[in-house]
Amino acid sequence: MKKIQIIIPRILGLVCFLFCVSPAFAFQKKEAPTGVEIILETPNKRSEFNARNPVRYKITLKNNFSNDQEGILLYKINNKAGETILTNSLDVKVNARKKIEAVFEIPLDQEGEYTLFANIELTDHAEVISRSFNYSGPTRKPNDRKKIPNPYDQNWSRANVGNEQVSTKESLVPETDKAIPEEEIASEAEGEEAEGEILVQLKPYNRDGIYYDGKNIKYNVILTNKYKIKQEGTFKIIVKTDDGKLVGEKEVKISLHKKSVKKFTITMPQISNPGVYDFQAALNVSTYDDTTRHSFGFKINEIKTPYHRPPDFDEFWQITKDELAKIDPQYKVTLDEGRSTYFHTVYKVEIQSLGNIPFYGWLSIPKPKGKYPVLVGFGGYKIELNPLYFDDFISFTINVRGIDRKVKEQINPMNREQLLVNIEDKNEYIYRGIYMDCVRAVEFVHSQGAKFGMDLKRVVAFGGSQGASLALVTASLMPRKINTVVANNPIFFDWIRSVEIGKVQKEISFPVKDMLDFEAKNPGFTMDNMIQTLQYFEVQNFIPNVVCSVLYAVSLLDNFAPASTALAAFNKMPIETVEKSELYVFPNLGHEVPRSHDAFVSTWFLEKVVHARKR
Amino acid sequence: MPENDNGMKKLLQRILLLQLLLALSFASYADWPIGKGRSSLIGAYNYFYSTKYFDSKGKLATFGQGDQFQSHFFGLTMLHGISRRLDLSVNVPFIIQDLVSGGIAKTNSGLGDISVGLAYHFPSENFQKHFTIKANMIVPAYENTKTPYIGYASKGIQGAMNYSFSPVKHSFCVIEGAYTHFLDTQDGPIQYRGAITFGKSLNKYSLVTFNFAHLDSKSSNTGFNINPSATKNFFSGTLTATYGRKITRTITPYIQTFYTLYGSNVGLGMGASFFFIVKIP
Repeated sequence: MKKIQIIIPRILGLVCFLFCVSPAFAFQKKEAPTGVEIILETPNKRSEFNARNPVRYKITLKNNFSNDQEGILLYKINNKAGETILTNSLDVKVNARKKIEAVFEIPLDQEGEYTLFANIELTDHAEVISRSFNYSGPTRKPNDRKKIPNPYDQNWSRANVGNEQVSTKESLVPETDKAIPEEEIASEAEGEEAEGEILVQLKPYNRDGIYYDGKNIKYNVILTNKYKIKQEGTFKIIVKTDDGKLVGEKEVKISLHKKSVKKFTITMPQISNPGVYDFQAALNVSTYDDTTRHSFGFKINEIKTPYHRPPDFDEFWQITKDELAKIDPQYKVTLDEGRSTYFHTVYKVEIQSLGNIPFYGWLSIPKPKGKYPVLVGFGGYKIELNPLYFDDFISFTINVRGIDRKVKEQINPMNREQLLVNIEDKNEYIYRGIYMDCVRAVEFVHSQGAKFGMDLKRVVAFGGSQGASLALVTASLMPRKINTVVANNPIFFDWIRSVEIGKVQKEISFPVKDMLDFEAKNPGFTMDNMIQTLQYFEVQNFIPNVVCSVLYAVSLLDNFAPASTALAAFNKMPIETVEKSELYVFPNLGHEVPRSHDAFVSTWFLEKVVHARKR
Repeated sequence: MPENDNGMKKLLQRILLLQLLLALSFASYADWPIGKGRSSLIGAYNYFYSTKYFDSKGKLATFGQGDQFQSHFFGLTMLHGISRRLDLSVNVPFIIQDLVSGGIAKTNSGLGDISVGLAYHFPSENFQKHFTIKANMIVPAYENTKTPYIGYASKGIQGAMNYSFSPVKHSFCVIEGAYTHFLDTQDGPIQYRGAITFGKSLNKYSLVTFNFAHLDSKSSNTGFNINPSATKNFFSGTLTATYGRKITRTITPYIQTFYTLYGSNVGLGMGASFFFIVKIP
């Protein structure tokens, strides 16, 4: 009761206070706005646009003057570097005490950060407004889209860039009728079409995206229209070879009822040559367009590419191995208590390799007694490996030269991209040493492994990306020392082909980008010169000497390692090797494998160490 | 390739995941595929002791004064992966039974029901779930010429299916249903078994499992015998707890204890087991 007695007077006091104070606001005369109010806004609050959410702004000009306002409105789009890439202009007339508004789209070609400048010069008012936004997504064509209320979207022109005499092509039509309520403006800007999207799903008819009948390459297409309005337009397939040559196109008309799902099967244009094919699937309907990249393989077992094997290739590697043999490995095995666990003992193994350059690895041994199979792990490009803690294997993970920072400074004082270190001379090229580091690591296993409980008749090698390539090269240089190789997304197979394919990609990526940059900075050393050196190291030249089974995984959308080069290399394996190997192809992935494949790798390893390797 | 380092690291992380996936020490226990060309040898000893029983109404009763039943079960099971999905299993038991009834002690021993079967696994895409169907043939390696009987002395067939999965990290769960029909005699029995097993790795080398099994044996022969191997019409629910620890790369011994929770026409059994799994190679 006491509490209530205290609270009630307080509430009454507050009400009285508000009652007394409120007239001060209620009867305060609102100051009439003056001038021209200009609002430039977008329904996309984060100002992040893409193909599904095109760059769309609404401009509102509210004339508070008692006289009409006339003048010019100039838009320009600057990129991150401050360069003007698009301009637009128009005449403007806003009647006295009226408001005009318009929604417009900006047709951008490239992803990036941009700034929109709107420069308005009217009879009695001038103002510059800017808005920053991001755009990510594929090229859009304004004509692919049903027009939204935009009287001047055709004015966007690169031709106007740099033209000081701005041409005015259209006018904003003044509204002489009643002023548009604010609520209505907002609802128009966020109209029905902005509320939805269309989900495009393409699934290869053959799950692995591999086909053998060129007339029957099919994809299941699922289009889910989340818009509240009917969508009409086209679905187009453009098929190209992986080096960018047009193979064919196919277009189907699409009609999607509001909030509906449409499923259909599309057959690719007929394919006749074995290879990996890229295709773009472009959906262009009333208020939405989207383009996605896909890939499939045709008769991949028949993909054949030429070797680029220097005539002295075998001699080169024999000399290299002989040179390595003269280097004392000076094995240094040190217990690493910090990395050891209750279940594993971990040693750091330091080894001298070609050129007396050291590298190191982590030897991880399960504590329960027993003779364990050995798993040798090779790292990806510039990736430092840590110890692995397997229950059923002793693992030896290799960090080749250049991973250790001190060694890197020694062998790469110019801090070049690793791929290009000493590329001018095949005898000094960094991968000559890296390949020998891998050989030396397997030598360590076979010469010292028995002391650590290794079952030397059961040695497996694995790696992803560059690590996969190192595993394959090592198996080639040390035949009959390894039971099986697991190679996930191997790279560096065929440099000529890789450059051909890499150059036509929308975005040139590693390694071709680095090579092109190097060529640009070193005019005296051309791409051909680089490839001349690299051919001593390209993995396809080693493949014919791989005699152990290989679990080989290729992803068709791999930008780092063109799938056709990896598949062509697989076909270069000896037939006896192919018979005991398995190839897995993942059509929808880039430089990775799915987790399910990692799980299968376990099965593979355990299966392949059932039988001891014959010496 | 700095801009691609993240991608490479992701790839590497996936490779590192192998360390989890290669921990297959309880694969045979979880009824996952053994693996093509691989084998597991399971040796088991089981001690069963019973002085009480659940009567036909499910009430706990005591055998006659001084009456008891105990058995020593030695089993040898060989599992072999014929392919990645198909496993062969052979089980050979040797049984010693001691029965004291009405003050008379009797002992019998010999090979029991030899079981030969195939299991076919349907793994999920990530190999973490398996649906398995099994077919077993039961062949008695004895004749009931002496009491206490070692078993039904009848050939039988068994069909079973189970679903195994990992409900939480480093664990497995197996839900199984089985149907067994003993063929040689008119009174069967026909047995239905449902079981659920949950296993959890305590660490890389230790494992605990808990199993609950309900067995319903149907027969026109409703008589009760102290010797469970001679009773045909009964049902029971049994709880089992197991602990195993890997001692070498290939050998994992287990200890097990079990208790009959409820039943009808069945002895209240309690006891312990010891068994080991040897992976080959």
